[in-house]
Amino acid sequence: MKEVVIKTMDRPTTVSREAVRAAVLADFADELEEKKQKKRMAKKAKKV
Amino acid sequence: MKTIDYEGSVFINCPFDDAYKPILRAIIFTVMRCGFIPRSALEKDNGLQNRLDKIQEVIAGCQYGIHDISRTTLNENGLPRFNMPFELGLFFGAQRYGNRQQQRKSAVIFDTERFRYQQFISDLNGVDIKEHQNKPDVAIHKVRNWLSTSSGRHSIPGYAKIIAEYRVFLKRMPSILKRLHLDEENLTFNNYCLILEERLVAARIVNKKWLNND
Repeated sequence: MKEVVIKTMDRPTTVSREAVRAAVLADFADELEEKKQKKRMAKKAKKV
Repeated sequence: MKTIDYEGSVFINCPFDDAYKPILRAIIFTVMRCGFIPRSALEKDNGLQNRLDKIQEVIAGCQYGIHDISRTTLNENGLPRFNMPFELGLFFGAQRYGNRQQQRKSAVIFDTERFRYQQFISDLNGVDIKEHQNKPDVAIHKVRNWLSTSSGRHSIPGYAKIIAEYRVFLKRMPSILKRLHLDEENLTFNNYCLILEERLVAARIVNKKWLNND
């Protein structure tokens, strides 16, 4: 199935697109780390 | 500045009060996740342009419109707020009297209850009004289905997927805002749209990478 293309538009904002991109990517890194951590915890709990 | 495409633009004619925020944000998320651009008079920051000019310009630039007349209630002076029904009328007018492009306009109209409008705009009799019951998930479902059928785009994901992704986004939003030194209470339409755009674009790239590494 074809994927939706996310469209962007330049609007007057109080933060720059670059700053938002950096914040979003840093948050993704946190999100992935949290998921990994959860997996590790679940594995540990199984062993015990 | 990029030119905005008419066929991909959705005019958001909805309340911007605090109580409505959960529904408004869910609607904007759905519009973007379906591959469209949400547009509002709030996106323009030009003190030289009056409000009605801004509204008319945005309406003329959008093939689609989401209109919510659920806030047609009396204020403390006993008068109703009539901005949304008025802008709905402008949208109808553009579709009825405009050029060929304008005649392709399509709209979804929301109220809290399906037949409440008959008490204040009986002229809308026969028009399909949808109810969102003040629930963001219901609004997501109905906006997604309307965009899918009226645009004929088959790439639009199912509503359950959009709802699930929106819930994840809501969980992540506080930490994104914290990094940007923004607060949720005073988040503007434009800042919200920018954050959403970057999150949705990044999600596709990150998820693909993640799936490939799993």
